[in-house]
This record gives sequence, structure tokens and C-alpha cells, in this order.
Amino acid sequence: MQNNSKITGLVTFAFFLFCYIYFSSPVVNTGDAGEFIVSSYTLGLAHPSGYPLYLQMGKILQMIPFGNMAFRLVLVSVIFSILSLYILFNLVMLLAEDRWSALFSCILLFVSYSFWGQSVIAKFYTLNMFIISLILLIGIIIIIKGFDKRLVYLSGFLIGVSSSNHHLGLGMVIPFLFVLIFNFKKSLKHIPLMIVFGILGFLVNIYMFLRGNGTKGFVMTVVYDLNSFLSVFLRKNYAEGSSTALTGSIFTNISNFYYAVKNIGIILDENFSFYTFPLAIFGLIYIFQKSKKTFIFLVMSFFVYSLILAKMTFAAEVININTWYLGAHQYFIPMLFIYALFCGAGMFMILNFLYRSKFNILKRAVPVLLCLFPLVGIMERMTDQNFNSNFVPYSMTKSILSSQPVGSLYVTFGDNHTFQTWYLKVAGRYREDICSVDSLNPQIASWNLRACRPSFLYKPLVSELFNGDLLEIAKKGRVQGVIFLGDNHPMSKVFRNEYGLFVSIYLPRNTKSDVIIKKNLISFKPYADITMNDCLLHLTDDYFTMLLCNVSSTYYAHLGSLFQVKQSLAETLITKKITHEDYTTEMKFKVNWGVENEDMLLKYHAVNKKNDIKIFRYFPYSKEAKHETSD
Amino acid sequence: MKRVIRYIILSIVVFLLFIIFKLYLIERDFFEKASEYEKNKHSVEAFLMYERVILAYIPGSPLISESLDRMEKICGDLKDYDRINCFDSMRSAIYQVRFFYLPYKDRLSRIDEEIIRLKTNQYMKENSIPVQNYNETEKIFRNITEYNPYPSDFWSFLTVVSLFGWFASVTLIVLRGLTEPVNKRVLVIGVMGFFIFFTLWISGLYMA
Repeated sequence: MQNNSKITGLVTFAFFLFCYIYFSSPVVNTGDAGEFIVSSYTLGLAHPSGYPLYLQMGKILQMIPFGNMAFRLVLVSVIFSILSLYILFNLVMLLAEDRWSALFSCILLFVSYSFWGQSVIAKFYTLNMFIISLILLIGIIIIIKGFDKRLVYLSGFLIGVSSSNHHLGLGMVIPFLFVLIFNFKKSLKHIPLMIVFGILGFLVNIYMFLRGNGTKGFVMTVVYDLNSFLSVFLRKNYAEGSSTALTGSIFTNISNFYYAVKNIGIILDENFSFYTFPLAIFGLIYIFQKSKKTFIFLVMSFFVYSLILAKMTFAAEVININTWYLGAHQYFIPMLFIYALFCGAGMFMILNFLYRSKFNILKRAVPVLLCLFPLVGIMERMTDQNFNSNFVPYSMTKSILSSQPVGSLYVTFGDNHTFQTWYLKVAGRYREDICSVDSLNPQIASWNLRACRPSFLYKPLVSELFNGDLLEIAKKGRVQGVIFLGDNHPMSKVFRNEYGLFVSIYLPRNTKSDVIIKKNLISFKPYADITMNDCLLHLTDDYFTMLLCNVSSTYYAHLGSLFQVKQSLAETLITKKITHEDYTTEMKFKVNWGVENEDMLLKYHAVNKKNDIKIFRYFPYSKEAKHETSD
Repeated sequence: MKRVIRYIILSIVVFLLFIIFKLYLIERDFFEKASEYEKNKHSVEAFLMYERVILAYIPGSPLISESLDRMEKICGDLKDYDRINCFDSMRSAIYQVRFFYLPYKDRLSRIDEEIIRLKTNQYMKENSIPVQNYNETEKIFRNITEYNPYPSDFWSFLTVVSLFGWFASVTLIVLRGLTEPVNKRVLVIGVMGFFIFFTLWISGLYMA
């Protein structure tokens, strides 16, 4: 019986591992991934809060001789998500001592939209989840099996270590305080040593001082003294989004708790569907009956990672689609984990009823069927989180860089274009002759030279940039940028906008070099075709991927307009509103379609249809959807 | 303990087998696509697909070396930017699959020379730079191409291993050392281990 149980567990976890590896991203994915890969490979520093633990974990995986740098960092997510699932299995076993309930809870979490999504891309959330799950396990062991000072020290160390990954982990301090209060007399004398071990864990952050000064590795925000360290560690650059400001926001606008609860409900429904709600309630009842202290500890943990977290980051009446993608899909992984634990306990309540039945078939077959039932969700994940098929970010960045003149200046904007360029140019060493600078504000031409370093190498190549004479370098079509300059853009007084390959070419207003540019652009059609194919073939509900494809298809249509058509079959007026933060402009041009470019017309429409933002899972709840309805 | 080690080894083997399986499927898939493009004389599309085969790197895979050979041949037949991008893609793909060892070093040195030459010529042509400035211009591209942005492999390895080392030492101190009564022997070993690994970690971070 015990052997059967082990084999069931091993086979299930091997299956989890297989799925996550198979559906993981084989190349760089959208969002922060590019930055993380570069920072990890070069042992540099990522955006605040720096993520030293994650970067070093990534570096370990870079030692294995399989795949490429990006894929290896994705494996960090895979490994820690599997380990988190294993901890979940043990947690349910501790509470219910029933393998089917434990497996049910693991399968439920395994197929959930966001947990799966975060497990197959290069992101730190599963590592964070693993640390949180370990602290949860320690807390429950202390409650159920009795006080052990060693576990208290270990939890202190883990909390300290979690500070070097993501501040979400520090949220476990609150529920763990309850564990200490439950054992107040015993734990009091051990708290000083627990703090010492916490400080030992915190020492991982020394990494930021040693690798973050900008002289070694790729660094996004430099750390050179205590103030700059605190600025990065506490994410002060994000102003309202800084860790301290967010913590303070818990106690303001109390009425917003209503929206926090509402949004949490949406996230849970989208991840587990409504049928699990009664199960979770059964689970809570079961845990309460079994141990009130465990109940308080788990409910507090859930409370921290749902309501408190939502109040800090996700408690507005209308939330834009970007925040839905970044917030709902990422921050709430610990909440999903604890919820799955509740469901596992709830399943045990039901199974316990069945186990008492006299019918063997009920005892044996039904638990298996119920446990495996959530696996039907895999079909959906294969079409919305199948990152194995997503080459869009890699392909698009490659096309953009490929189309740029030797020794040119490329101005990126936004996480996607910027981080993907950093990956390909700095870690992948592709088209190193291009000086890539990134802009923080779409309306201001103040740029960071982060992918144009070391500057002594690039000074002789793009001396115009270093001398502040952009007009000179722009004359030859050697300045390209992500921002499409509309008439209201400050730079449009000096530059005019020309369509490039998925980006804009900034030409001085008085220059007429359109003919050369158009001729050159047509020669890059094969690159654009491949990227558009990737936009058609990806099977991911990844908002950033859709956004990249959606905007690029317009540039693709413009490329089609450059072809000389002998006999016009149709004429289309293409208009597209482009928004970069608060800056919005419109692309507008006519295309004559003929036999020479009709394949492009078909692809343009297909890509737009396939990457319609309205398909995105959280779109119906977004500000954009509400605006559309009111319009 | 032996059982735990057995499970860990089994997990690592299964993990690697799954990775190899996935990568092999990608290699096979893109190799077929690339061959198809190559057959139809779509050279740019072909080299872009061969690049993806290389990115799904499995040591010793015949598809990778075949892709590199075919890609090099295609690159040689291309002109202007396609030629630059093709050689650069090949070079980039090799760098992207680099682990503590850089595979296909011999090819890289050959490609590097070609890339420097191509970029120099293209840049001079587009910016109307006189021929007598060739050496000066070539030096710019040579410096950029030869600049190594990666940290030292040895020190990087030492850093990540020693991070695990000091994590393990702290865990050892807590779980095996701080028992009732305190196990002094384990405690001394744990504390010593911590200081050694921590020092190595700091040194690694400093030197890498």
C-alpha cells in the first residue's frame, strides 16, 4: 500500500515536471525576462529590489549544458514550482493524511492559469512561492507536532533569505508571529536567536553592494552606498509603488477593501472556477475542527496574501489591463497556493465520507476520479500557457535589430522592447554594433545608455550621440525608436517619423531620404514574415505578446504598402491608435493590395485577429473593457 | 540518507531526460522547417530557423553541427545586411548556448573576423568614410566584437556553489547543531563551514 502510494506520488510529480518543462519557454519571454537573464548571466543586478537570490539561482542553472541562457533561467521557475507543489502535497498530508486529497490539491494548483503561467517563464515568483511554502510547512509542523526551537530559527533564516528575492515573502512574518504567540513562553527566549538567523539570511543582500556598482555585470540601478542600497531594496524609485508606500496604503481608503475582495474573487474564479469555492469552505471547516491554531495560522496567511496584498496593489474600482496582467497573474500565487490547500482539506472531508461507505467501488474508484478531475484543465493550458510555442519576443527583437544600419542608435521604450533588446544584444551578443539606449518617459528624450556600454567602445561609433548632435546621426536613417512620434510629441519639432521594421525611424524634418529607406525596408520582408508567423503560431494568452504582435502588424501592413502594385485588387486605409503610457498617437496610411503583397494582407488580418487584446483572460474586467462598453 | 540521495539522483536524471526530449523535438521541428526553406531558396528564413535549432542545444547533437554547417554555407552566399545578420545570428546562437564552456570556439574565431570585415565595409559605405580610414574604422568594430561582457566562469561557479555551501552550513547549524543538548562537534563544523563558504562567496562576487 505504501509502495503504491509512493509510486502514485512519483508518477504524478514526474508528470507535473514533464508538462512544465515541455510547455516552458524555449527562448526569452516578454516582460522582465530579458533583464533577468542578462543580470543573472553576468551576475549583475536587476530592477529594484535587485533580486540577488533569484539571479544567483539562475546562474547555477546556467552551468548545465542544455538549451540556451533564456531556457535555463526558465528552468529555475520549473524547479521551484515543482518543489512548491511537493511542499503542498506534504502540507495536505500533514493535515489530512490522505494521498488522494493531497494529490487533488496539487493537481488543482498545477493546472491553475497563473501558477502554470509563472512556472513556464523566466520569473522569480515560483522561487518566492517555494520559500513561503517552506515557512508555511514549518509553521504547521510546530503547531501540529509541537514546539521546536530549531524550526523557529530556520524560519527566521528563511524570512531573511526571502528579503533577497521579493518582498512578498516578508508577508509570512505576520502569520508566523501567531505561531510564536501560540507558544509564547517557549518561544520568547528563542526570538533573539531567530532574529540573528534572520540577519544571516538577509546577508544575501550583500550581493547588491559587491555586484551592483556598475563595474561588474549588467546593472539596471546602481548600488554604491547605503542610501542607494536602501533605494533599490525598498524600491524607492517607484514612488507610490515603493515597498514602504504600498505598506502604508493598507491603512488608507478603507472602503477600497470592497474592491480588493471583489478582485480576489475574480482571480480565484479565473484560476480554479466556481466549483472549488464550496470545497475551500469545507476545507476551512475541516481545518478548524482539526486544529484551531492551524486554522488561525492558515487563515492569517491567506489573509495576508489575498486581502492585504490586494489592498496594497489591487484595490481600485477600475484597473487597467496592464495591471490585471502584472498584478492578478503574478502577485497572488501564494494566495492560490493556500487556497489549493484549503480545497485539498475540503476534498478530504468529502472523501472521508466515501471511505466510510460499504461499497468498494466508491472507496477506490471515486477518490481517483475526483482527484484527477482538475486535469481536464490541461487542455486549456495547452492553448493559453503553451510557451513552448512562443517565439514572438525573440523573433521580434531579432527582426528589429536586424533591420538597423550598422553603427546606429536604437531608442527602446517599455519593458518588452528594452529588456528583450538587452538580452539579445548584451547576453546574446547580437548586433553589438548598435548602441541601444532606453527611455523612461515616452515624451522626453532623456535616455539611459544601459545597452550602449562600455561607452568607450561606442563613442567612436556613434560620436554624434555623445556629442549631443542627434540630427547628424539621424540624417542617415541611423536613429530608430519604439515611440511612434505623433505631431504632439516634443521631438516632432525636429524629427519626422518614418515607418521602419516594427519601430520608427526618426529623420530630421528637412531630410528627404525616404526612397533609400523604403528600398532597404522591403529587403527585410523575410524577417518580418517570420515574426508575423510567430505571432500567428503562439499558443499563449500572454498580454505582452499580444500587444507586441498587435502593434507590429500595423508596421507590417505599412511594409506591404511599399510594394509597387501593378493591378490594385483593393485599397485599405489603415489606422491604429498607439499608446505609450500617457502618450497616444495615431498611425494612418493607405495600402494598395495586389498580387505582389496579398500574402501580407492575409497575414496582417490573421495576426490582428489572433492577437486581439479582447481575447486576454482578464480583459473583460479591465478599464479598457469598461470604456468600450460605455462607448 | 542513502534513499534521499537515490531520489535526488533519480529526479536529476528524469529532469535532464525531459529537457533533452523537449529540446530534441524543437531541434527536429526547426531543422525540418529550415531544410524546407533552404530547398525553396528562402535563405533568410532558412538561417533564422537553423538558428533556432542551435538554440535548442544538446551537446553532441548531430542536428546542431549540421545546422551550423548549413548556416555557414547560407551566410557565405548572402549579401549586404542578410550576410551580416546571418553570421551575427550564428555567432549569437553559439554565445547564447554557452555554459561554463564555450562550444564551437574554432568556428567563432572565423565568424568574428568575417563580421568585423563586413560591418566595417558596410559602415564605411553608408557613411562615406574614405578607404584610408579602414584600419581605424575596423579597430572600432574589432574592439566591440572582441569585448567580453561575461564574468569569469571559474569565479561565477565558485560564487554560486559557495552560496549553497553557506546556506547548507546554516541549516546544519540549526537542525543538527542546536539540538538538546547542543551537538558541539556539528556546531563547530557548521560554523567553520559557514565562514569558509561565506568568505568564498564574497571573494567570488568580488572577483567574478
